[in-house]
Amino acid sequence: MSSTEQGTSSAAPAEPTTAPESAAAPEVPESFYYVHGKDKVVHKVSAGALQHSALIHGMISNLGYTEEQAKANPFPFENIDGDILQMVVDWCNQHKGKPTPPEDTNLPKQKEKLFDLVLAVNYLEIKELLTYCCKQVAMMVKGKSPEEIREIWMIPTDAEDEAAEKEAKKRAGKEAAGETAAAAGDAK
Amino acid sequence: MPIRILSLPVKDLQYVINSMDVIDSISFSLCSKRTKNLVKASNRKIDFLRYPRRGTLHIFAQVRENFIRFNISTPESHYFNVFDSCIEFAQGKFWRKPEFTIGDWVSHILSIFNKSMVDDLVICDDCPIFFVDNVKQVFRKCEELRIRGNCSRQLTNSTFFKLAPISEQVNIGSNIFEDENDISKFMSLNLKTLIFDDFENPFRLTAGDLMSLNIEEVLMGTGNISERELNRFLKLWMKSNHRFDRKKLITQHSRVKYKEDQIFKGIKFEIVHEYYLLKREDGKELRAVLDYGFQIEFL
Repeated sequence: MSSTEQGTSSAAPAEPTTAPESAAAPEVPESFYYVHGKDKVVHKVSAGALQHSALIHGMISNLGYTEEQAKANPFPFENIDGDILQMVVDWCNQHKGKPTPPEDTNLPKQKEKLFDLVLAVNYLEIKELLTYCCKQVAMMVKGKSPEEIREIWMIPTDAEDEAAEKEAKKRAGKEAAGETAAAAGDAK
Repeated sequence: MPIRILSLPVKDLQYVINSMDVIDSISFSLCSKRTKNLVKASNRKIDFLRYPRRGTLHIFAQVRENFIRFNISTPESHYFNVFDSCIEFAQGKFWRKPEFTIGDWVSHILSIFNKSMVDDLVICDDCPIFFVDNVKQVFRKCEELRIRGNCSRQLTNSTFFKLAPISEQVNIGSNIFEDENDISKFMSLNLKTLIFDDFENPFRLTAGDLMSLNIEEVLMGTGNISERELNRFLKLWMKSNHRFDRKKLITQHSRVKYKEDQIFKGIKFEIVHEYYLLKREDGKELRAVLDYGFQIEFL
């Protein structure tokens, strides 16, 4: 497995810069966890940044990993593309311990990427990022006519929906008939 | 490259729909039956203190010469026009749905926002009289019917009698009772609220008009009832066994201050806090407040 450690640079500013302050409040070492997507590239993320994801936060709480165990067993997210996971990790690092702003202009502008990001963020349960992404998706059709919206979002017409439904019913009927025939064969 | 929005998980799709502005969600609802149901299911709610029916969108419909202008407050104002099989959004963008009539547009708009009726139905001065019958069929019901003050006498009269039965509240902007029209015909209708709002020609009422009152609440921005007529009405009410259920009559005009001694001349009353309380032999009570205007409540 190839491994590139990322996210460490964003953790750096949290480290104390002046000695007197650190002497007053002893620094608690930040724990890190590891995640990888479809491309198996491992990303190092601080526990603080991962707080944004209800899914990962729940996994950490339930598993009670030590840092060594976490390093040895990165959380696998095989259904998320590497570049999308990278975007999510970057966003979590950027917004670590900060109140989320009302607008986020750093989201991808490419429609396909945004769509994949929505799916990933929904899976990882990052509510704030999901809200931004959904707003961005909604902005794609701002001021567009129904015909233009249908084209941008690939919405089937009623006739196409009906045809698909008929097809699905037909297929379900055939499958049911096949199962009945197989069951009758078994009985014989 | 286009994306398949309908393959998003339902929760995300609802987030997207709720992030759209009202006009975009209407356009989206027109794409197919499925998108219409999605907009309907998003059940858009708002919290807008200005309107009495909080939590829902406020829909105004203005009936104009050959189109209906919708204005939806969320509280931002979004407007669009419908006519024949067309919908016209801001920036002059048209879209045609050939199978749609004006009635279909109205049903579609009410349906996607889960409303059984429009909040305000406004009849404008350029609405043709022959169109009023269509309006009744198209809207079926409305919270408030407003007949603008600049409408002709004929349009006001026709609209009132045809559309008042489908309205919870009626607001008339011009006094059409100066000569041939009998105001008591209006007062005897079974309405919840009637508002008279003509500042140039205040509505003149008599004791007889008030006795024929069948409306739950009458609000008169500029009513004109003399102290003598009010006294006559109160005397008639005291002597009769006429029953008013939950009726309230309010008139306000700041020119003259009502004189207590003339209004209650020959009538027994008590003063309870700031109210004048009148008690009838059958136990019925009436509460009145006087100032620059008056308010009467039948208890």
